[in-house]
Amino acid sequence: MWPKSIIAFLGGLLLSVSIMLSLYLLLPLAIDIKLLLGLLSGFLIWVAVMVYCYSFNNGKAVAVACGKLLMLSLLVNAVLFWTLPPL
Amino acid sequence: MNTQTMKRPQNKLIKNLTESHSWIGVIISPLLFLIFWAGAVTLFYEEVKQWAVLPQFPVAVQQELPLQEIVESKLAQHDFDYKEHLMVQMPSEHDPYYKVYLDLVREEGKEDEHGEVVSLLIDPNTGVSVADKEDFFLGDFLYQLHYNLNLPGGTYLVGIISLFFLFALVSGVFIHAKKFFKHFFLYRHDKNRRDKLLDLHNVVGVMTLPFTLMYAISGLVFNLAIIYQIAFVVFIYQGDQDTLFKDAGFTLFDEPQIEKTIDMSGAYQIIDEVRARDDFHLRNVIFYNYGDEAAIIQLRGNDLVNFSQKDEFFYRVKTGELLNKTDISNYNVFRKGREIIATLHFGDFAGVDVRVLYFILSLAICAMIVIGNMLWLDKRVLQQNVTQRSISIIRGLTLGGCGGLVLATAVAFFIERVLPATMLNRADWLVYSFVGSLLLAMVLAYIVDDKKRYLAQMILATVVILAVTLVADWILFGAQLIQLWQSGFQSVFAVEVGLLLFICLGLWVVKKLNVFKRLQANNVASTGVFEGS
Repeated sequence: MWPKSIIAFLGGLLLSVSIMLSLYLLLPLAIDIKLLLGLLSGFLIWVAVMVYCYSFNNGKAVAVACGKLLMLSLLVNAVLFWTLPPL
Repeated sequence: MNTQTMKRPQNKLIKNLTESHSWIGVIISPLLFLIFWAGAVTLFYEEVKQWAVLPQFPVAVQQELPLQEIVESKLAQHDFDYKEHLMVQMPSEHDPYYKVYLDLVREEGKEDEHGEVVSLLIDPNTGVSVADKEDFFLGDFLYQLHYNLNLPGGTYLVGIISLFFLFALVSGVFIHAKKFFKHFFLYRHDKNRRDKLLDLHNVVGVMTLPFTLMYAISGLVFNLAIIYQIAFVVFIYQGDQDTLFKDAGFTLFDEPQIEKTIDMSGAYQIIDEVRARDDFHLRNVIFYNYGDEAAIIQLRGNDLVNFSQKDEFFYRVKTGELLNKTDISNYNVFRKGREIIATLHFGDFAGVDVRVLYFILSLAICAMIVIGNMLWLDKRVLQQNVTQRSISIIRGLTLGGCGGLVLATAVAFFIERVLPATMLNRADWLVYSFVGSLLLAMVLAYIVDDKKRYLAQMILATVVILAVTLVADWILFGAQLIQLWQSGFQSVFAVEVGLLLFICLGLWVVKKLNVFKRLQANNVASTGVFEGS
C-alpha cells in the first residue's frame, strides 16, 4: 500500500502540473479563465491519476504505468514550450 | 470461460480500489472527522463569536460616534506603524462592534519581522475598546482547527487530507457504481450488523455526494492552490508573481509615502457615501499610508443584488479618484470563480436555513466517517490479517478521537462562557482545556474495556457540560441577555437553542445505546466493535 500511495501522490502531482501547463498553453481562452480551469482541472487530474495508480496490484506496475504517462506528458510539454511563443 | 476472463480485470480493479478506499479512509479518518466537525460548528462562526462576546459587553442601539473620531482616537492611543495598513471591520445588524486592526511599530533590530498587531473590539456608541478581539477565541479557534488544525504547516496537511478525501469519494463511486441507483435508498435494518453499517455508510455517501465533492474540491482550492501557483509562476510567468496576481484579479497598490500630511476627512466622506447605499453592504475598509498624501482606501463588501458578488473599490484620498473597482460589471473570472467556491463552501449565499442544512449534512458525514472505521474494524477482526495492536489503535482513535472532539468542544464552550473577560491569557486557557479534555478522552478510550459504555459516558458528560454552560449563561448574564433580546441581537439565543438541541440529541443517543439498563440487568454479552475485547 505504501509504495502505491507514494507513487500515486507524487506521480499524480507531477502529471497534474504537466497536463495543466499543456492545457494552459493549448486552450484559446482569456488568461483568467485559463487560470481558473487550470486550478480546478489540476486537482481533478491529480485525483484521477491516483485512482488509476491504486487500481494496479503492486507498486512496480504502478511505477511503470505512471512513468510512461509522465514521459508522454513531459514530451508534449517540451514540444509546446519550444513551438509556442512565450507569454 | 470467456465471461470469466472478461470480468476478472474489472473485479481486480474494484478489489484494489476497495482495499485502497478502506485503508486510506481509516488513515485519514481522525483528521477528516476533526475537519468536518470543526467546519460544522464554524458554519455558525458569527453566531458563536457573538454568543461569546455580546453578553460580556452588551451594546444598545444608539447614535454611533463618527468613524473618523473612533479611528483617530485609537491611533493616538497606540504606537501605529504608519507605513503599514490599518483595517476597520464595520458593524452589521447582527454584530454591533467596530473591529480595528493596527500594526504596531516594530522593535529596533526587528524591522524585517512581522510586528505585533492589536485587534480591538470597539463600542460604536462610546468609542471605548471593550476588549482585544483575540481574547474571545472560541469561534476563531474552531475555525483555525478546521482549516489548519492550529498547527504550523497545518494548511497543507488539511489540503492533503482533502486530496485523499476526494480520492476516497471517487473510489467509493467506482466501488458502489453498480448499485448507485438501484440501492439509492437501501437500508437493511433487519439484516446483520455489518449490512446495516454498510448500507448506512453507502446511503450517506451517495446522498451527500454533491456536497462532499464540493467540500473536497473547495478544500483543495483553499489549501493546496500554492502548488499550481508555483507551477504557473515558474513555467508560465518566468518568476513574475505580481503579474500572475494581476491576471488572477488581485489588485495591489504598493505606493511609497510622500511624507506630506493630509486631512483624512475625504476618506470618511467616501466611506459614509458607500455605507448609505441600499444595494451594498460594506464589510471592511483598509487604509494605506494613513494621513499621508499618498493615502489610498480600499473598500470591500457584498453586492446585495447579485449572487456571490463581492465588490472592491480603491480610492485616492487626496483627490477622491476611483483607482480601481471590482463589481458585477467589471470582474475577473478567476477571482469570481474562487469567490463562488468560497460562497458554496461557507453556505453563506442564503439564510440561516441553508447553514442548518449544511450543518446536518456535515454531521451525517462525521457519522459516515465513524461508520467507515467500524466497518474496517469489523472486517479486520473477522479476517484476523491485522495485528491486535493496530486494531486497538484504530478503535481508540475512532472512539477517543471522534467522541473526544465532541466532548472537548463542549468543554471549550463552557470555558468560553465562565472565564472572566479580563482574565490574562484567556484564549490560552481555552486551548489548554480543549486539548486537555481531548487527550484525556483519547487515553481513557485505550484504557477502558467496555467501549460502548465509555461512549455513553462521554456523551453524557458532553450533555452535562452543555447543560451547565446554558445554566451559567443565565446565572452570569441573565440581565444582559434580556437586554440583548430587547435590542434585537438574537444570534446569542440561536446558539443557546443549538446547545439545547444537542443536549436532547445526546440524551436520545444515550437512550438508544441502552448501556446503563443493560448493566443493571447484569447482562455482559457484547458483540459490537466499541465493546472491546
